[in-house]
Amino acid sequence: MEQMPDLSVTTRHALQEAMLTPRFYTTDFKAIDALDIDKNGLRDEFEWIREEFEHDYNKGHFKRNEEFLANFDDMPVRQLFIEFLERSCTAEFSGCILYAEMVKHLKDPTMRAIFRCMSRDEGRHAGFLNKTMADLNVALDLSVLQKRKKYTYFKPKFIFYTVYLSEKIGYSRYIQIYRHLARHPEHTIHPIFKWFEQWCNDEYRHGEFFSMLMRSQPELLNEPANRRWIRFFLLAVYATMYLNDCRRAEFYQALGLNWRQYDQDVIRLCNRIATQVYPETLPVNDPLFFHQLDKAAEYDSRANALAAAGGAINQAQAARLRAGVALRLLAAYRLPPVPTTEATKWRGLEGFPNYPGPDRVTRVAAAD
Amino acid sequence: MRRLLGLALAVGTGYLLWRWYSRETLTEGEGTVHLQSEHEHFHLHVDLPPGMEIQPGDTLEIVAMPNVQGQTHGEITYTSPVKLYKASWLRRNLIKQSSLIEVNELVEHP
Repeated sequence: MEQMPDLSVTTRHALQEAMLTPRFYTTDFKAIDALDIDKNGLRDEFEWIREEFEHDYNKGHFKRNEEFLANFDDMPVRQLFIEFLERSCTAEFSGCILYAEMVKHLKDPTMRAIFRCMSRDEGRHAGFLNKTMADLNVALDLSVLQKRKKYTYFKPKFIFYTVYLSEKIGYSRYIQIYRHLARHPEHTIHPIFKWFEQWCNDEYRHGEFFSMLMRSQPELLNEPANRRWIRFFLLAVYATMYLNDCRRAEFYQALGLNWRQYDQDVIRLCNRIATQVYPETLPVNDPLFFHQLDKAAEYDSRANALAAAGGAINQAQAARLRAGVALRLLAAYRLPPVPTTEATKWRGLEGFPNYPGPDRVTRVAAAD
Repeated sequence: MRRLLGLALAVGTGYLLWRWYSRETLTEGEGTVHLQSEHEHFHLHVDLPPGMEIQPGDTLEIVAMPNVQGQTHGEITYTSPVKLYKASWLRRNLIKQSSLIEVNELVEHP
């Protein structure tokens, strides 16, 4: 597929400005640098995945075709689609920055090379989304990025738990949408969705690296306190997605998706994938689990409506409902977790390369 | 009277804590900014001068920004004055404890 020139698209919509407001994270880089990735004999596996990253499977994937030059003035849920692009671009941009910071601070050449490749991938995804926004006459306000940026903090282990889940749930979301639209092409409101299949392989591969990183430090997975953190982050990631998507039901409806069914499918897939590394996962097949999430989503919707209506009484009621959201999530957290066994462990994606062992043929990086 | 004194003490303590929390010290230097905003790639990275290190709760400001109208042609690299507002000990440690709830962005994949 040839790359199309950056033609300006005629639109009757006024120029809109998109504001990216990514979080800027910092962490204990010295602690990450001090991790001994050799101690459990995983060095060769890290070298293998570095070669996989350097092969850059998607180097030629993010090329646009003539479909992108269509007029999207009358596309369904245009404004919601723009907001979706903005949010996605912010998330990819945040990943790009976080990984680039790792490159700056780490000393191990393998780790540096891997983070450099992952930053490359996320920046490439952000660029693709950025260009799609430009097609819709939405310009990024880059000056927002130069203004005062506050840095927040995540402990290294929390970065590993959450970014692993972020990558795997990202994969699950992309692939579910892609498969759904492959079955129902009449709901493809924009060509960008056709790029999702290979795009999500980047996310999956990033997750594989974090899985490896956690396996190289077994205490992150096996200590009782860390198991509780794992369950906490599993629930945090699932619940955040569930509540966010409930608020954007109309967008998913335009894609022919029922947000609730879509989210439950995504969570089930992500939970299955997470068994590749986590010793226990959430009981997503227990009807009580989604019952609690449904109740939390219902309270959240009502709280948002009350808060938007304004007034002291409405605000107080909204606060009460938000407390109800927290209690429902606590109830979901307290459900007995599902231990991972050899029989239930995720073995990898069909067709996706797994570590072939130390006797593999070394690949010529990114040259072919 | 004791109640009034107690209230005044609480207000005074709160005020002092707030002053401590919001206190910032400013460090300035010259940074190198790498910016690419186009189809192929979108990123913004800043190399800070030696000795300038970002810690939790700090705030960074890039003073200069070229007029690129939202798009660049390839990566542009330029030097810019940067201002680093160092957070107080109190804010730094509160930020370290409170960021657990900031997972929203990590799950905002399409």
